[in-house]
Amino acid sequence: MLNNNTCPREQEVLDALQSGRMEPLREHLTACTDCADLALVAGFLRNESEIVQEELSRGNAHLPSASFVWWKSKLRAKRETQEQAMVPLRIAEKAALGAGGLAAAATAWWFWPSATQATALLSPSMVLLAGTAAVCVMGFALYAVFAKE
Amino acid sequence: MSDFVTTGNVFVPALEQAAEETFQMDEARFHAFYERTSRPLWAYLSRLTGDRTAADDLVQESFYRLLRVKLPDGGDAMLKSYLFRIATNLVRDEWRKRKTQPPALELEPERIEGRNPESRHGEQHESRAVLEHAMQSLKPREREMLWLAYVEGSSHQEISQVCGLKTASIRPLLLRARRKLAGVLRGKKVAHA
Ligand SMILES: [Zn+2]
Repeated sequence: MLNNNTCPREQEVLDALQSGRMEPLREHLTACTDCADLALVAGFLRNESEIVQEELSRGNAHLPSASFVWWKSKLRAKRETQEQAMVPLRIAEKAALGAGGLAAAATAWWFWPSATQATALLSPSMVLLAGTAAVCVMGFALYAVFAKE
Repeated sequence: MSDFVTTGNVFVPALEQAAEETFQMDEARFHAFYERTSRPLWAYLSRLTGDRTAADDLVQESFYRLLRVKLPDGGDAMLKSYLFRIATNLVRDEWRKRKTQPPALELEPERIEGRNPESRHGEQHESRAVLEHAMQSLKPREREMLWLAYVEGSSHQEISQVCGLKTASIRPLLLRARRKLAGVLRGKKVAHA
């Protein structure tokens, strides 16, 4: 079971670390495990923090300026707002495409008997030409819808 | 800059202004807050992730999210806690996505060797290997808590807000993490609680 009680002099240790005046606490640190742990750990972490601050000051690590982060955030917010504004339009486009597809299928189904009769009267090359034209028109329509995405 | 922005074949009026209106603070306040908090946040993130490039990205992402969310009531101390909380959650999300533990920390041998921690902090007897081992031995949450407590000087309440834990549980968890790190720094084997 871990003992959760700590030494009442912990704040003194932290203050001493801050000021760099550890000498008056030397005796206590040899006798008190909690404070010795605290001095060791807090000292180690603050040392780490100073190393990082030095990295930043010496330019070994780069932190963007406030203006740059603000500007970039604004651009991103703009893009996201723009995307949000486009959502209803994209839904409408998809719905229109679906409705168009259904209408085309219904029309084809409706006219299929008369179309087969008509093709019987045409030459094979005319049928091929008409088929190619239909595929091209459908391909262009699909491209027009999806190209923006 | 134009008041109209072209989006496909549709004009969206004053989009830029609309975007800025979603920000929860004005530019002047943002500048002041960023100047005060970006360096400590970068230090926290670079030691938490062990990856400077990730820290760069996370700092920018954290500030962006801070601009977009509804800010909590309270002064700048509360705002700083909130910023650290956003950053901590981003790091956790990243680890969860990758399903990996945080990597070993990047330590700079020439800096560490050039120091004399014995004279600075009394009891530290460091070498690069010991330092690496010390930080690696901590769980992410332990790194978070120890850094906040002893570098940022955060109160237990602030740590609980950043880490998403109950205030009452901070003292025992912090104590456990501290004993663990102290043990490792002394080169002892510490039993994991
Ligand atoms: Zn003590």
